[in-house]
Amino acid sequence: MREVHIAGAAVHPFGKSRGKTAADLGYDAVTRLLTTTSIGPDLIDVGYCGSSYGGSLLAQRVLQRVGVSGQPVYTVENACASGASALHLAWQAVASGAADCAVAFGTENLSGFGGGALPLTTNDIEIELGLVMPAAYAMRAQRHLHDFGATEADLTMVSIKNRRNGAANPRAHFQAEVSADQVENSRPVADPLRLLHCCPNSDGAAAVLVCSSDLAREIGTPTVRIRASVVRSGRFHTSYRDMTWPDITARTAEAAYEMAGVRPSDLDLVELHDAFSIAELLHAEALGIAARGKAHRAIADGEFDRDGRVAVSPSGGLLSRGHPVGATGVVQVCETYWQLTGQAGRLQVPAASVGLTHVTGGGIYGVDNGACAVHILTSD
Amino acid sequence: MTSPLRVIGADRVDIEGDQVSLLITRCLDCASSWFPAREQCSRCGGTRVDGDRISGQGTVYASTTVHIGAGAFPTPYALSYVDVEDIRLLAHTRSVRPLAPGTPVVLVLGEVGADGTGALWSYVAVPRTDGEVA
Repeated sequence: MREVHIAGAAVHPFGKSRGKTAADLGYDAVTRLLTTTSIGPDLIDVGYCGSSYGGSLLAQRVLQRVGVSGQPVYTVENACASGASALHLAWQAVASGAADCAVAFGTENLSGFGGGALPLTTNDIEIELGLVMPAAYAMRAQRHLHDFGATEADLTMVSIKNRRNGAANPRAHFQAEVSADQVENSRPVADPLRLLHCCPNSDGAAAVLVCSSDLAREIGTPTVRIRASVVRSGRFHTSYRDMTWPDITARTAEAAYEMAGVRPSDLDLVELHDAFSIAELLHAEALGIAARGKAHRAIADGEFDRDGRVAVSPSGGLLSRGHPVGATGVVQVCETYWQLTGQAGRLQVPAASVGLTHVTGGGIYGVDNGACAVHILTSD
Repeated sequence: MTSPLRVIGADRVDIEGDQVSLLITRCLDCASSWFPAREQCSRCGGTRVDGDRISGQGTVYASTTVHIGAGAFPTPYALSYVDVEDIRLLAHTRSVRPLAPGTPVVLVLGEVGADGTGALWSYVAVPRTDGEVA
Protein backbone atom coordinates (compact mmCIF):
# COMPACT_ATOMS: atom_id res chain seq x y z
CA MET A 1 0.00 0.00 0.00
CA ARG A 2 1.23 3.48 -0.85
CA GLU A 3 1.43 6.42 1.50
CA VAL A 4 -1.66 8.61 1.24
CA HIS A 5 -1.85 12.32 2.02
CA ILE A 6 -4.43 15.03 2.36
CA ALA A 7 -3.32 18.09 0.42
CA GLY A 8 -6.23 20.42 0.96
CA ALA A 9 -9.50 20.95 2.84
CA ALA A 10 -12.52 23.19 2.38
CA VAL A 11 -15.86 23.67 4.11
CA HIS A 12 -19.15 25.37 3.38
CA PRO A 13 -19.94 26.75 6.85
CA PHE A 14 -22.46 24.67 8.80
CA GLY A 15 -25.79 26.10 9.85
CA LYS A 16 -29.09 26.79 8.17
CA SER A 17 -28.87 27.29 4.41
CA ARG A 18 -32.50 26.92 3.45
CA GLY A 19 -32.08 28.28 -0.05
CA LYS A 20 -29.34 25.83 -1.03
CA THR A 21 -29.68 22.17 -1.99
CA ALA A 22 -27.16 19.51 -0.97
CA ALA A 23 -25.72 19.83 -4.49
CA ASP A 24 -25.30 23.62 -4.07
CA LEU A 25 -23.52 23.16 -0.73
CA GLY A 26 -21.27 20.43 -2.10
CA TYR A 27 -20.45 22.55 -5.14
CA ASP A 28 -19.41 25.39 -2.86
CA ALA A 29 -17.08 23.17 -0.80
CA VAL A 30 -15.50 21.48 -3.84
CA THR A 31 -14.99 24.82 -5.59
CA ARG A 32 -13.25 26.19 -2.51
CA LEU A 33 -11.08 23.03 -2.42
CA LEU A 34 -9.95 23.40 -6.04
CA THR A 35 -9.27 27.10 -5.50
CA THR A 36 -7.26 26.62 -2.32
CA THR A 37 -5.16 23.82 -3.87
CA SER A 38 -4.89 25.55 -7.27
CA ILE A 39 -5.57 22.36 -9.19
CA GLY A 40 -7.75 21.79 -12.21
CA PRO A 41 -10.49 19.19 -12.57
CA ASP A 42 -8.47 17.02 -14.99
CA LEU A 43 -6.03 16.14 -12.21
CA ILE A 44 -8.77 14.34 -10.28
CA ASP A 45 -8.89 10.62 -11.10
CA VAL A 46 -11.93 9.69 -9.03
CA GLY A 47 -14.55 11.31 -6.78
CA TYR A 48 -16.57 10.12 -3.80
CA CYS A 49 -19.53 11.91 -2.25
CA GLY A 50 -21.00 11.02 1.15
CA SER A 51 -24.63 11.90 1.76
CA SER A 52 -27.60 10.30 3.47
CA TYR A 53 -30.48 12.41 2.20
CA GLY A 54 -29.06 14.08 -0.93
CA GLY A 55 -30.53 11.68 -3.48
CA SER A 56 -29.35 9.80 -6.52
CA LEU A 57 -26.19 10.75 -8.43
CA LEU A 58 -25.27 13.55 -6.05
CA ALA A 59 -21.56 13.04 -6.82
CA GLN A 60 -22.22 13.73 -10.50
CA ARG A 61 -24.49 16.69 -9.79
CA VAL A 62 -21.71 18.37 -7.81
CA LEU A 63 -18.54 17.33 -9.59
CA GLN A 64 -19.68 17.88 -13.16
CA ARG A 65 -20.27 21.56 -12.31
CA VAL A 66 -16.56 22.01 -11.57
CA GLY A 67 -15.42 20.04 -14.65
CA VAL A 68 -14.89 16.62 -13.07
CA SER A 69 -16.90 14.91 -15.75
CA GLY A 70 -16.23 11.56 -17.33
CA GLN A 71 -14.14 10.21 -14.46
CA PRO A 72 -15.57 7.53 -12.16
CA VAL A 73 -17.55 9.11 -9.32
CA TYR A 74 -19.65 7.53 -6.59
CA THR A 75 -22.29 8.57 -4.06
CA VAL A 76 -21.87 6.72 -0.77
CA GLU A 77 -24.57 6.25 1.88
CA ASN A 78 -23.62 5.00 5.35
CA ALA A 79 -25.77 7.21 7.61
CA CYS A 80 -23.61 9.41 9.87
CA ALA A 81 -20.50 7.66 8.53
CA SER A 82 -21.32 8.51 4.88
CA GLY A 83 -18.68 11.22 4.49
CA ALA A 84 -15.98 9.25 6.29
CA SER A 85 -16.87 6.23 4.14
CA ALA A 86 -16.38 8.36 1.03
CA LEU A 87 -12.96 9.36 2.36
CA HIS A 88 -12.14 5.73 3.13
CA LEU A 89 -12.85 4.78 -0.48
CA ALA A 90 -10.69 7.68 -1.71
CA TRP A 91 -7.92 6.45 0.58
CA GLN A 92 -8.30 2.91 -0.82
CA ALA A 93 -8.06 4.19 -4.39
CA VAL A 94 -4.85 6.13 -3.76
CA ALA A 95 -3.27 3.56 -1.41
CA SER A 96 -3.79 0.79 -3.96
CA GLY A 97 -2.32 2.82 -6.81
CA ALA A 98 -5.58 2.81 -8.76
CA ALA A 99 -5.63 6.63 -8.49
CA ASP A 100 -3.11 9.38 -7.77
CA CYS A 101 -5.66 12.02 -6.86
CA ALA A 102 -9.15 11.70 -5.43
CA VAL A 103 -11.66 14.16 -4.10
CA ALA A 104 -13.82 13.10 -1.16
CA PHE A 105 -16.64 15.29 0.03
CA GLY A 106 -19.79 15.14 2.11
CA THR A 107 -22.85 17.33 1.77
CA GLU A 108 -26.30 17.52 3.29
CA ASN A 109 -29.26 19.81 3.56
CA LEU A 110 -31.45 18.93 6.54
CA SER A 111 -33.44 22.19 6.69
CA GLY A 112 -35.99 20.59 4.42
CA PHE A 113 -37.02 18.24 7.23
CA GLY A 114 -37.97 21.07 9.59
CA GLY A 115 -37.34 20.59 13.31
CA GLY A 116 -37.41 17.56 15.55
CA ALA A 117 -35.68 14.21 15.29
CA LEU A 118 -34.45 13.11 11.88
CA PRO A 119 -36.52 10.53 10.03
CA LEU A 120 -34.98 7.07 10.32
CA THR A 121 -35.28 4.16 7.96
CA THR A 122 -38.62 2.38 7.76
CA ASN A 123 -39.50 -1.31 8.18
CA ASP A 124 -37.61 -1.50 11.47
CA ILE A 125 -39.20 -3.07 14.54
CA GLU A 126 -37.91 -0.37 16.89
CA ILE A 127 -38.63 2.63 14.69
CA GLU A 128 -42.22 1.48 14.15
CA LEU A 129 -42.61 1.63 17.95
CA GLY A 130 -41.48 5.25 18.06
CA LEU A 131 -37.74 4.96 18.64
CA VAL A 132 -35.85 8.09 17.58
CA MET A 133 -32.08 8.63 17.84
CA PRO A 134 -32.33 10.89 20.92
CA ALA A 135 -34.29 8.12 22.69
CA ALA A 136 -31.70 5.49 21.79
CA TYR A 137 -28.90 7.64 23.23
CA ALA A 138 -31.08 8.60 26.21
CA MET A 139 -31.38 4.95 27.21
CA ARG A 140 -27.62 4.51 26.88
CA ALA A 141 -27.28 7.59 29.08
CA GLN A 142 -29.65 6.28 31.75
CA ARG A 143 -27.75 3.00 31.91
CA HIS A 144 -24.29 4.65 31.92
CA LEU A 145 -25.33 6.97 34.73
CA HIS A 146 -26.79 3.99 36.59
CA ASP A 147 -23.69 1.81 36.16
CA PHE A 148 -20.87 4.33 36.63
CA GLY A 149 -22.19 7.08 38.89
CA ALA A 150 -22.03 9.93 36.41
CA THR A 151 -24.81 12.50 36.73
CA GLU A 152 -26.87 14.71 34.46
CA ALA A 153 -24.48 17.51 35.42
CA ASP A 154 -21.68 15.49 33.80
CA LEU A 155 -23.67 15.34 30.56
CA THR A 156 -24.11 19.09 30.77
CA MET A 157 -20.35 19.60 31.12
CA VAL A 158 -19.85 17.96 27.71
CA SER A 159 -22.22 20.47 26.13
CA ILE A 160 -20.54 23.39 27.90
CA LYS A 161 -17.04 22.31 26.77
CA ASN A 162 -17.97 21.69 23.15
CA ARG A 163 -20.04 24.85 22.84
CA ARG A 164 -17.08 26.78 24.29
CA ASN A 165 -14.79 25.20 21.68
CA GLY A 166 -17.21 25.92 18.86
CA ALA A 167 -17.68 29.54 19.91
CA ALA A 168 -14.31 30.23 18.25
CA ASN A 169 -15.09 28.28 15.06
CA PRO A 170 -16.34 30.41 12.14
CA ARG A 171 -17.62 27.23 10.44
CA ALA A 172 -19.78 26.14 13.39
CA HIS A 173 -23.58 26.18 13.42
CA PHE A 174 -23.60 27.50 17.01
CA GLN A 175 -20.86 30.03 17.83
CA ALA A 176 -21.91 30.92 21.36
CA GLU A 177 -21.04 29.45 24.72
CA VAL A 178 -23.79 28.07 26.94
CA SER A 179 -24.10 28.02 30.73
CA ALA A 180 -25.10 25.07 32.90
CA ASP A 181 -28.38 26.86 33.60
CA GLN A 182 -29.14 27.21 29.91
CA VAL A 183 -28.47 23.52 29.29
CA GLU A 184 -30.40 22.31 32.33
CA ASN A 185 -33.37 24.53 31.54
CA SER A 186 -33.54 23.71 27.84
CA ARG A 187 -36.58 21.67 26.84
CA PRO A 188 -36.55 17.95 27.56
CA VAL A 189 -36.07 15.75 24.47
CA ALA A 190 -35.70 12.21 25.86
CA ASP A 191 -34.90 11.89 29.57
CA PRO A 192 -32.22 12.54 30.72
CA LEU A 193 -31.29 14.40 27.51
CA ARG A 194 -32.38 17.99 26.98
CA LEU A 195 -32.22 20.04 23.81
CA LEU A 196 -28.74 21.39 24.54
CA HIS A 197 -27.48 17.83 25.07
CA CYS A 198 -28.35 17.18 21.40
CA CYS A 199 -26.59 18.29 18.22
CA PRO A 200 -28.55 20.45 15.81
CA ASN A 201 -29.73 19.27 12.39
CA SER A 202 -27.58 21.38 10.09
CA ASP A 203 -26.86 22.10 6.46
CA GLY A 204 -23.29 22.10 5.23
CA ALA A 205 -20.57 20.49 3.15
CA ALA A 206 -16.89 19.63 3.42
CA ALA A 207 -14.27 18.40 0.95
CA VAL A 208 -10.71 17.08 1.04
CA LEU A 209 -8.10 16.35 -1.61
CA VAL A 210 -6.52 12.89 -1.23
CA CYS A 211 -3.33 12.14 -3.12
CA SER A 212 -0.12 10.16 -3.48
CA SER A 213 3.24 11.37 -2.12
CA ASP A 214 4.52 12.37 -5.57
CA LEU A 215 1.42 14.35 -6.40
CA ALA A 216 1.34 15.98 -2.95
CA ARG A 217 4.87 17.28 -3.55
CA GLU A 218 3.87 18.57 -6.98
CA ILE A 219 0.82 20.41 -5.64
CA GLY A 220 2.96 21.94 -2.92
CA THR A 221 0.24 22.71 -0.37
CA PRO A 222 0.63 21.75 3.33
CA THR A 223 -0.11 18.04 3.76
CA VAL A 224 -0.98 15.54 6.45
CA ARG A 225 -0.60 11.78 6.16
CA ILE A 226 -3.48 9.33 6.55
CA ARG A 227 -2.00 6.69 8.84
CA ALA A 228 -5.21 4.71 9.25
CA SER A 229 -8.58 4.59 7.52
CA VAL A 230 -11.01 2.01 8.87
CA VAL A 231 -14.76 1.43 8.41
CA ARG A 232 -16.75 -1.23 10.26
CA SER A 233 -20.42 -2.21 10.31
CA GLY A 234 -22.41 -3.06 13.42
CA ARG A 235 -22.51 -6.66 14.62
CA PHE A 236 -26.12 -7.77 14.32
CA HIS A 237 -27.78 -9.77 17.07
CA THR A 238 -30.96 -9.53 19.16
CA SER A 239 -29.54 -10.74 22.48
CA TYR A 240 -28.13 -8.98 25.54
CA ARG A 241 -25.98 -5.97 24.62
CA ASP A 242 -23.93 -3.73 26.90
CA MET A 243 -25.16 -0.35 25.69
CA THR A 244 -22.57 1.51 27.77
CA TRP A 245 -19.81 0.02 25.62
CA PRO A 246 -20.13 0.86 21.90
CA ASP A 247 -18.48 -2.25 20.53
CA ILE A 248 -18.52 -0.86 16.98
CA THR A 249 -16.34 2.09 18.04
CA ALA A 250 -13.98 -0.15 20.01
CA ARG A 251 -13.50 -2.55 17.07
CA THR A 252 -13.01 0.23 14.52
CA ALA A 253 -10.56 2.11 16.73
CA GLU A 254 -8.57 -1.00 17.58
CA ALA A 255 -8.06 -1.75 13.89
CA ALA A 256 -7.10 1.89 13.23
CA TYR A 257 -4.54 2.01 16.06
CA GLU A 258 -2.98 -1.18 14.73
CA MET A 259 -2.86 0.11 11.15
CA ALA A 260 -1.32 3.42 12.25
CA GLY A 261 1.07 2.03 14.85
CA VAL A 262 -0.36 4.63 17.22
CA ARG A 263 -1.63 4.28 20.79
CA PRO A 264 -4.47 6.28 22.34
CA SER A 265 -1.89 8.04 24.54
CA ASP A 266 -0.14 9.36 21.40
CA LEU A 267 -3.17 11.42 20.33
CA ASP A 268 -3.06 15.21 20.59
CA LEU A 269 -6.65 15.64 19.47
CA VAL A 270 -9.78 13.66 18.70
CA GLU A 271 -12.80 14.82 16.70
CA LEU A 272 -15.49 12.58 18.22
CA HIS A 273 -19.07 11.81 17.20
CA ASP A 274 -20.84 13.69 20.00
CA ALA A 275 -24.29 13.64 18.42
CA PHE A 276 -25.53 13.69 22.03
CA SER A 277 -23.54 14.64 25.12
CA ILE A 278 -23.62 11.06 26.45
CA ALA A 279 -21.91 9.97 23.23
CA GLU A 280 -18.68 11.70 24.24
CA LEU A 281 -18.52 9.63 27.43
CA LEU A 282 -19.33 6.34 25.69
CA HIS A 283 -17.03 6.81 22.72
CA ALA A 284 -14.12 8.37 24.63
CA GLU A 285 -14.00 5.20 26.70
CA ALA A 286 -14.33 2.92 23.66
CA LEU A 287 -11.59 4.91 21.85
CA GLY A 288 -9.31 4.30 24.84
CA ILE A 289 -8.72 7.95 25.76
CA ALA A 290 -10.49 7.51 29.13
CA ALA A 291 -10.74 4.52 31.44
CA ARG A 292 -13.99 2.57 31.51
CA GLY A 293 -16.65 4.53 33.40
CA LYS A 294 -14.27 7.46 33.96
CA ALA A 295 -14.77 9.74 30.93
CA HIS A 296 -16.95 12.09 32.99
CA ARG A 297 -14.05 12.49 35.44
CA ALA A 298 -11.66 13.31 32.58
CA ILE A 299 -14.04 16.02 31.36
CA ALA A 300 -14.56 17.45 34.84
CA ASP A 301 -10.77 17.62 35.30
CA GLY A 302 -10.26 19.48 32.02
CA GLU A 303 -8.35 16.62 30.39
CA PHE A 304 -10.39 16.95 27.17
CA ASP A 305 -10.05 20.74 26.93
CA ARG A 306 -8.19 22.31 24.00
CA ASP A 307 -5.07 22.63 26.20
CA GLY A 308 -5.74 19.41 28.12
CA ARG A 309 -4.24 15.91 27.97
CA VAL A 310 -6.04 15.18 24.69
CA ALA A 311 -8.24 17.82 23.07
CA VAL A 312 -11.64 16.28 22.32
CA SER A 313 -13.59 18.04 19.57
CA PRO A 314 -11.58 21.30 19.67
CA SER A 315 -13.68 22.46 16.68
CA GLY A 316 -16.83 22.25 18.79
CA GLY A 317 -17.96 18.76 17.87
CA LEU A 318 -21.38 17.95 16.52
CA LEU A 319 -22.95 19.68 19.54
CA SER A 320 -21.64 23.04 18.36
CA ARG A 321 -20.52 22.65 14.76
CA GLY A 322 -23.75 20.90 13.84
CA HIS A 323 -24.47 17.66 12.07
CA PRO A 324 -25.23 17.69 8.36
CA VAL A 325 -25.17 13.90 8.45
CA GLY A 326 -23.10 13.03 5.38
CA ALA A 327 -20.73 16.00 5.77
CA THR A 328 -19.68 15.35 9.37
CA GLY A 329 -17.05 12.67 8.71
CA VAL A 330 -15.31 14.92 6.18
CA VAL A 331 -15.45 18.16 8.18
CA GLN A 332 -13.80 16.38 11.10
CA VAL A 333 -10.90 15.56 8.79
CA CYS A 334 -10.80 19.15 7.48
CA GLU A 335 -10.60 20.48 11.04
CA THR A 336 -7.85 17.97 11.88
CA TYR A 337 -5.95 18.86 8.68
CA TRP A 338 -5.91 22.51 9.77
CA GLN A 339 -4.82 21.51 13.29
CA LEU A 340 -1.93 19.35 12.09
CA THR A 341 -0.73 21.93 9.55
CA GLY A 342 -0.87 24.75 12.11
CA GLN A 343 -3.68 26.58 10.31
CA ALA A 344 -6.41 26.23 12.95
CA GLY A 345 -6.19 29.81 14.17
CA ARG A 346 -8.13 30.37 17.41
CA LEU A 347 -8.96 26.64 17.49
CA GLN A 348 -5.30 25.60 17.41
CA VAL A 349 -4.30 22.77 19.77
CA PRO A 350 -0.72 23.54 20.85
CA ALA A 351 1.90 21.43 18.98
CA ALA A 352 -0.71 19.07 17.52
CA SER A 353 0.89 16.31 15.44
CA VAL A 354 -1.40 13.25 15.81
CA GLY A 355 -5.18 13.40 15.42
CA LEU A 356 -8.05 10.91 15.27
CA THR A 357 -11.51 11.39 13.75
CA HIS A 358 -14.49 9.23 14.68
CA VAL A 359 -18.03 8.99 13.34
CA THR A 360 -20.62 6.34 14.04
CA GLY A 361 -24.27 6.24 13.25
CA GLY A 362 -27.32 4.75 11.78
CA GLY A 363 -30.26 3.70 13.91
CA ILE A 364 -31.40 0.21 12.97
CA TYR A 365 -32.34 -2.49 15.46
CA GLY A 366 -29.94 -5.22 16.48
CA VAL A 367 -26.66 -3.24 16.18
CA ASP A 368 -24.83 -0.55 18.17
CA ASN A 369 -24.85 1.55 15.02
CA GLY A 370 -24.99 0.78 11.33
CA ALA A 371 -21.52 2.04 10.43
CA CYS A 372 -18.46 3.52 12.13
CA ALA A 373 -15.33 5.09 10.67
CA VAL A 374 -12.03 6.08 12.27
CA HIS A 375 -9.18 7.96 10.60
CA ILE A 376 -5.79 8.66 12.16
CA LEU A 377 -3.80 11.54 10.68
CA THR A 378 -0.28 12.75 11.41
CA SER A 379 1.59 15.90 10.49
CA ASP A 380 4.27 13.98 8.57
CA MET B 1 -58.46 -15.19 20.54
CA THR B 2 -59.15 -13.30 17.37
CA SER B 3 -58.58 -9.65 18.04
CA PRO B 4 -60.04 -6.76 16.11
CA LEU B 5 -57.31 -4.54 17.59
CA ARG B 6 -54.59 -3.13 15.39
CA VAL B 7 -51.44 -4.38 17.11
CA ILE B 8 -47.96 -3.19 16.10
CA GLY B 9 -45.79 -6.28 15.91
CA ALA B 10 -48.76 -8.71 16.11
CA ASP B 11 -46.96 -11.18 13.86
CA ARG B 12 -44.00 -11.55 16.25
CA VAL B 13 -45.87 -12.38 19.45
CA ASP B 14 -48.63 -14.63 20.78
CA ILE B 15 -51.41 -12.83 22.62
CA GLU B 16 -53.75 -14.60 25.05
CA GLY B 17 -56.05 -12.22 26.88
CA ASP B 18 -53.69 -9.39 27.70
CA GLN B 19 -50.66 -11.69 28.18
CA VAL B 20 -47.92 -11.56 25.55
CA SER B 21 -45.34 -14.22 24.77
CA LEU B 22 -42.55 -13.83 22.24
CA LEU B 23 -42.10 -15.96 19.13
CA ILE B 24 -38.36 -16.47 18.77
CA THR B 25 -35.92 -18.54 16.73
CA ARG B 26 -33.12 -20.68 18.12
CA CYS B 27 -30.23 -21.74 15.89
CA LEU B 28 -29.52 -25.47 16.18
CA ASP B 29 -25.91 -24.96 15.08
CA CYS B 30 -24.62 -21.98 17.11
CA ALA B 31 -27.39 -21.64 19.74
CA SER B 32 -28.08 -17.97 18.94
CA SER B 33 -31.56 -16.71 19.75
CA TRP B 34 -33.44 -14.25 17.57
CA PHE B 35 -36.45 -11.99 17.90
CA PRO B 36 -38.40 -11.50 15.72
CA ALA B 37 -38.33 -15.09 14.45
CA ARG B 38 -36.31 -15.65 11.29
CA GLU B 39 -35.64 -18.37 8.75
CA GLN B 40 -31.86 -18.12 8.87
CA CYS B 41 -29.44 -17.60 11.73
CA SER B 42 -27.82 -14.20 11.18
CA ARG B 43 -24.77 -15.16 13.23
CA CYS B 44 -23.57 -18.37 11.56
CA GLY B 45 -25.75 -18.21 8.45
CA GLY B 46 -27.20 -21.65 9.17
CA THR B 47 -30.75 -22.60 8.23
CA ARG B 48 -31.18 -25.36 10.86
CA VAL B 49 -33.36 -23.31 13.18
CA ASP B 50 -36.30 -24.01 15.50
CA GLY B 51 -39.14 -21.77 16.53
CA ASP B 52 -39.82 -21.29 20.23
CA ARG B 53 -42.23 -19.33 22.42
CA ILE B 54 -41.06 -17.63 25.60
CA SER B 55 -43.01 -15.89 28.33
CA GLY B 56 -43.09 -12.12 28.40
CA GLN B 57 -41.43 -11.84 31.81
CA GLY B 58 -38.21 -9.88 31.76
CA THR B 59 -36.05 -7.16 33.27
CA VAL B 60 -35.61 -3.53 32.22
CA TYR B 61 -32.13 -2.78 30.86
CA ALA B 62 -32.71 0.95 30.27
CA SER B 63 -35.58 3.38 29.75
CA THR B 64 -36.39 6.89 28.64
CA THR B 65 -39.34 9.21 28.45
CA VAL B 66 -39.59 10.66 24.96
CA HIS B 67 -40.75 14.28 24.74
CA ILE B 68 -39.96 14.90 21.08
CA GLY B 69 -40.89 11.75 19.26
CA ALA B 70 -42.11 10.41 15.99
CA GLY B 71 -45.00 8.58 14.43
CA ALA B 72 -48.38 7.99 15.95
CA PHE B 73 -47.37 8.22 19.61
CA PRO B 74 -48.60 11.15 21.69
CA THR B 75 -45.79 12.64 23.80
CA PRO B 76 -44.62 12.11 26.39
CA TYR B 77 -44.27 8.34 26.00
CA ALA B 78 -41.81 5.97 27.62
CA LEU B 79 -39.71 3.26 26.01
CA SER B 80 -37.64 0.52 27.60
CA TYR B 81 -35.15 -2.04 26.44
CA VAL B 82 -36.25 -5.25 28.15
CA ASP B 83 -34.25 -8.48 28.53
CA VAL B 84 -36.46 -11.56 28.27
CA GLU B 85 -34.28 -14.66 28.77
CA ASP B 86 -31.47 -13.99 26.26
CA ILE B 87 -33.56 -11.70 24.05
CA ARG B 88 -33.31 -7.89 24.15
CA LEU B 89 -36.30 -6.01 22.76
CA LEU B 90 -37.73 -2.51 22.73
CA ALA B 91 -41.19 -1.93 24.18
CA HIS B 92 -43.41 0.90 25.30
CA THR B 93 -44.03 1.08 29.02
CA ARG B 94 -47.38 1.84 30.61
CA SER B 95 -45.90 4.39 33.00
CA VAL B 96 -44.75 7.66 31.45
CA ARG B 97 -41.88 7.86 33.96
CA PRO B 98 -38.77 5.96 32.85
CA LEU B 99 -38.44 2.59 34.61
CA ALA B 100 -35.17 2.06 36.47
CA PRO B 101 -32.62 -0.47 35.19
CA GLY B 102 -33.27 -3.82 36.83
CA THR B 103 -37.03 -3.35 37.22
CA PRO B 104 -38.83 -6.71 36.76
CA VAL B 105 -41.53 -6.35 34.10
CA VAL B 106 -44.04 -8.39 32.19
CA LEU B 107 -45.18 -7.71 28.64
CA VAL B 108 -48.89 -7.16 28.26
CA LEU B 109 -51.12 -5.91 25.48
CA GLY B 110 -51.63 -2.16 25.77
CA GLU B 111 -52.67 0.89 23.80
CA VAL B 112 -49.63 2.89 22.64
CA GLY B 113 -50.90 5.50 20.21
CA ALA B 114 -53.32 6.36 17.45
CA ASP B 115 -53.35 7.29 13.80
CA GLY B 116 -56.08 8.54 11.48
CA THR B 117 -57.75 5.12 11.53
CA GLY B 118 -57.87 4.77 15.30
CA ALA B 119 -56.04 3.29 18.27
CA LEU B 120 -52.78 1.37 17.94
CA TRP B 121 -51.82 -1.38 20.37
CA SER B 122 -48.63 -3.28 21.05
CA TYR B 123 -46.76 -5.19 23.72
CA VAL B 124 -46.14 -2.94 26.71
CA ALA B 125 -43.78 -3.45 29.67
CA VAL B 126 -45.45 -3.24 33.09
CA PRO B 127 -43.65 -3.65 36.45
CA ARG B 128 -44.39 -6.99 38.18
CA THR B 129 -43.88 -8.57 41.56
CA ASP B 130 -43.49 -12.35 41.65
CA GLY B 131 -44.89 -12.71 38.18
CA GLU B 132 -48.00 -10.66 38.87
CA VAL B 133 -48.70 -7.32 37.28
CA ALA B 134 -48.03 -4.68 39.93
